[in-house]
Amino acid sequence: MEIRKPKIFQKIILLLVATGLLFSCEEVIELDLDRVDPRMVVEANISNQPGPYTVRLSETTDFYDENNFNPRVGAEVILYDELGNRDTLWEVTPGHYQTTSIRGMVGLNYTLEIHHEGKTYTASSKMPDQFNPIDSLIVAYEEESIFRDAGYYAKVTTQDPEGVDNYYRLKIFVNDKVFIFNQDDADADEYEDNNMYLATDQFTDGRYVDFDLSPPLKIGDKVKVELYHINQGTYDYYRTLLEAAGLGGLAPANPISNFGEQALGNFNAYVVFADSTVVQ
Amino acid sequence: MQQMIRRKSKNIGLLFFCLTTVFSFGQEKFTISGTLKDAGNGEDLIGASISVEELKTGTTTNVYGFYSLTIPEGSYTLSFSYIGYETIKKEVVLDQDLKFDLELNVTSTQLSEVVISAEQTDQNVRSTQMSVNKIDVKEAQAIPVIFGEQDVIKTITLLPGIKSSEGGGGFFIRGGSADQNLILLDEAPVYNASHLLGFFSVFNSDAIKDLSVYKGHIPAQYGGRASSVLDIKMKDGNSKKFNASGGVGLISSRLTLEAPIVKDKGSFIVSGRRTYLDLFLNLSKNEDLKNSILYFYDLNLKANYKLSDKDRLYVSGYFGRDKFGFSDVFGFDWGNTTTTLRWNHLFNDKLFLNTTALFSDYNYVVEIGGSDEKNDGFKITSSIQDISLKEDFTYFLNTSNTIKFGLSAAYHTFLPGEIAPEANSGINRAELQDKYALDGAVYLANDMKLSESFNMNLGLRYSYFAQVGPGDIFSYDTSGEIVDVQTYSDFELVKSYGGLEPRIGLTYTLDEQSSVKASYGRNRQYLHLISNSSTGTPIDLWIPSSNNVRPQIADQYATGYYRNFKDDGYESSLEIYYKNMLNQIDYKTGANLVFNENVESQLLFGRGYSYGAEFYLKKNVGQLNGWISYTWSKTEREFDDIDHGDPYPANWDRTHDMTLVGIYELNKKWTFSGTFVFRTGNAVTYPVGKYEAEGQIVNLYSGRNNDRYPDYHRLDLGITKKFRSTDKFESSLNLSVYNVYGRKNPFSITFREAEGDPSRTEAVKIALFSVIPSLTYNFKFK
Repeated sequence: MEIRKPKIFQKIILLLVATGLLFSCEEVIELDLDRVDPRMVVEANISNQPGPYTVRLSETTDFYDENNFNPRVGAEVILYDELGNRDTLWEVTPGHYQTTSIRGMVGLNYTLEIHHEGKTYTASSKMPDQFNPIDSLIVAYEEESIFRDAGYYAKVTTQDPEGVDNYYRLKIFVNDKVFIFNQDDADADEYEDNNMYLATDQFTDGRYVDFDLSPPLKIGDKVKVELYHINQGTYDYYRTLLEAAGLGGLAPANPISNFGEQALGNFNAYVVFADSTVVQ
Repeated sequence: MQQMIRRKSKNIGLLFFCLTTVFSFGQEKFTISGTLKDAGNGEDLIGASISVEELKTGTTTNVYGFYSLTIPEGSYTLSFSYIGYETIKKEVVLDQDLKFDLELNVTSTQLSEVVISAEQTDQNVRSTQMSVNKIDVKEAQAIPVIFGEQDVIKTITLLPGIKSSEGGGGFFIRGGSADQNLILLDEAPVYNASHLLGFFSVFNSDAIKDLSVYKGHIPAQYGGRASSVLDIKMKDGNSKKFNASGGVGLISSRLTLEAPIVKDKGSFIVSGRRTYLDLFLNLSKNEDLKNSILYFYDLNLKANYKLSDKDRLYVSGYFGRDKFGFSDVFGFDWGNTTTTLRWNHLFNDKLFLNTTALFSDYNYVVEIGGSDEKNDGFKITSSIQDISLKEDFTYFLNTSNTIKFGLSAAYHTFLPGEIAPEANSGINRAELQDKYALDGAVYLANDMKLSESFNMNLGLRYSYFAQVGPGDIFSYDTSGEIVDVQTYSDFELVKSYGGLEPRIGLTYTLDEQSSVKASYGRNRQYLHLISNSSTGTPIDLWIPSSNNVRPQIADQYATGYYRNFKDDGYESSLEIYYKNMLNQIDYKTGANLVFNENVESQLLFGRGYSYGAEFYLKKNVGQLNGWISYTWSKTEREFDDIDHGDPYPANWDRTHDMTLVGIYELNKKWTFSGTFVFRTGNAVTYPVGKYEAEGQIVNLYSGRNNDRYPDYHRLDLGITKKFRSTDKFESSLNLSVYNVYGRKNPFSITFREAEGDPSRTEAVKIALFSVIPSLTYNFKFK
């Protein structure tokens, strides 16, 4: 199954442009945008893989500033689970905090607590206890279709367990690099990609599922795929993050976060499996 | 609460008193009744005037061309008139009931130089109806339009208080959202009036006779939407002789055939339109594009037959569909079907009854994947269906009282979504629960002449709505979690709502040429549109009021001053309004509205209000016709969970909205026209900063709709050349240019990584339409 939803309206608009009915015109404009005081951004994850786990604290900046995001240094960052295991993270580099001892376990609820300049930020996340490993990672040649050019593509299969809601994220690394498409590609609209493959089993509950990944591959490429079992909160965060990073829809808003309105970002506890292969 | 009830009952008492007030003249009275038609094609004339010169009183024909006038015995001069038609005068000695079925001739002069008498065009000043606009379909045909496609919906948005959107079929009336407009085609509700993502409406001008839009003080016979009623009547068809008319345009062609079934007793009309955009696709070198389809069509059918002097039957239907297919892996089509069966019956010369049975359906189908050999695709379908029955009586009591009363009932079926996979598809069959609802209404209204200069229209409507089984009905807490599930059997009541909808209009005539009016109306809306966009898409979802969703209620207060000049050659009006809207719907942050069984848990409920002033000046006579319309308004909403309960502007809030329309008829051959539109940009949310997460640059937002798109403005021009016409044939060629000076009005503004500099971000404006010329050839065989 193709994970990415076919973008119906984009396709229609594309068709309209093709017929000459729509004359779309794109223009960079300068807007007078409001500014706000910098806000806290937390990127924190814990998984079933051995640690250490890293928490990144940074802050927001004005839209027309450069993409430099100041680290938030000198924070007290504590991670603990429901069994009483507790870890105070140390700041390895400015804004990056690392665990020392805690070990992620499936099915446990984790809490992250941050104290910075008199403010406290707290979020909890439960690591899923339902998970299914990657069954296979296959690379095969595909004919040209409206979704993509002809070429080699990776496909991941797994057996979805029946009767439970499952949320997935996939991440693909090509030659050890997180794969992000070049957006200056001539067909950028068609192929824009951010390596954030999200899926649920809403329509595939209990099925043997295959996830088609869109990066085109070459012979000799080393491909690694990670399959994340995420909880619903993390799924909603990723889903709304994509909206905020992209077009934003009718009423653009900040992503749903388990920090509520205290901070941006999210604290995610997930189970992850990986597999890799070489294209031949 | 108790206070409210007491106040209500007092209102009802007052209303009852007013409704039964009958003015007695102490003389024997007789009734003059009949129908008025166009002498050329036999079409009923709607809103034509019948006036009694001696009494300075009169009436107008209803939508079936029927009139009835009861006056004391005596000798009178009656005049029957209609704009653009020659007036018929009749001297009568009224000592018994009289019947005149008359046919009026179109004025022979082509140029609009006819002196129009006061009785004909002072309706805007005299009638108790305010906040209504009518479109003269013939007049609208001269207005330049995009791609040369005449579109009544685009035309009404040139009127005061009605706001359009470019690309998006929705329109907004006095601060109401797009789903608060009741769109009726021969009385059947049309649930999605857009073609091609809203660039065109489903109404083919060739098939339309009359269009009225009620922006406030909605007459009591209408109900079901909070903001407005757009009442569109299809042509009945020529009952005199066969004729064929049509047009060939840049993107579509039209053909209309009309003919009598039995001369002067019945007629039919068949009108079709189809676009041929896909022909251009065939020229493409790209195989996928070559195999793609993209078109829409409309088919309007109507027939009527006069069974007797007292009975007439009408059957009308509309069938339209958009079809879109990309290669053979993706298909998407959507469309409406409406069918209306009507029976006019005259009990006597004063009591008129129309019985309507109707059916309306809107559905869409999305097909994904599934080549024939693989058989692994799937299909998504969704629909809404209505069947409805209505009885509408009009009792022409006397010249001072015209009473309308009636009742209606409807059954709604909602099929929110179904996924049907093919045999080898990797996905499961899935179906969202169907939903069912019943609604009913009764109404009583009286149009009263209280004195020479004071008129009142009093209406009372009671509406009732019930969500019924079968189904498992969920209840949610404030965080959207399911707290209860109840199973209901067929037609078992889940939740019901009902209430009064009083409507009142007052008119005080200051002199022959001017009046002041005031009105109040309450409207309840039981069906709600769930949409990811403010202007509507084909996959929007209609949902019923339910245990979780309460009906929307709108109260509107309006007042206005109306003045005509130069023997009604010019008409002008100034109206101000205030509208309060309860139980409005917005969505939770990150709401999941697509194929969600618990879509009701994704909603937020709040309040909306709108106020504004609308100015309108129209010139009706001479070679140069047209109008200026200007609206100042403010529309805000208040939701506890949005911006901490602070008011924020609705997306369609536009402070200024101005339109200039001019039509200049140089001579019998050449007509020039122009439209200029200016409006404040939509209220939108721009980012106030950015941050990095998951390796991406993410926009930071704060506050809903705090920003504005740049002002929108545009000039369109058109030229029509009429060719030499004969008794048998006439034709014309129209050239129109949309957006003459190529203003790049934003369709959307997005934010992205700066091109060529990944260390920065930039805002990008996308404009859809630049200068667009189009050519249309129209013809008519008579």
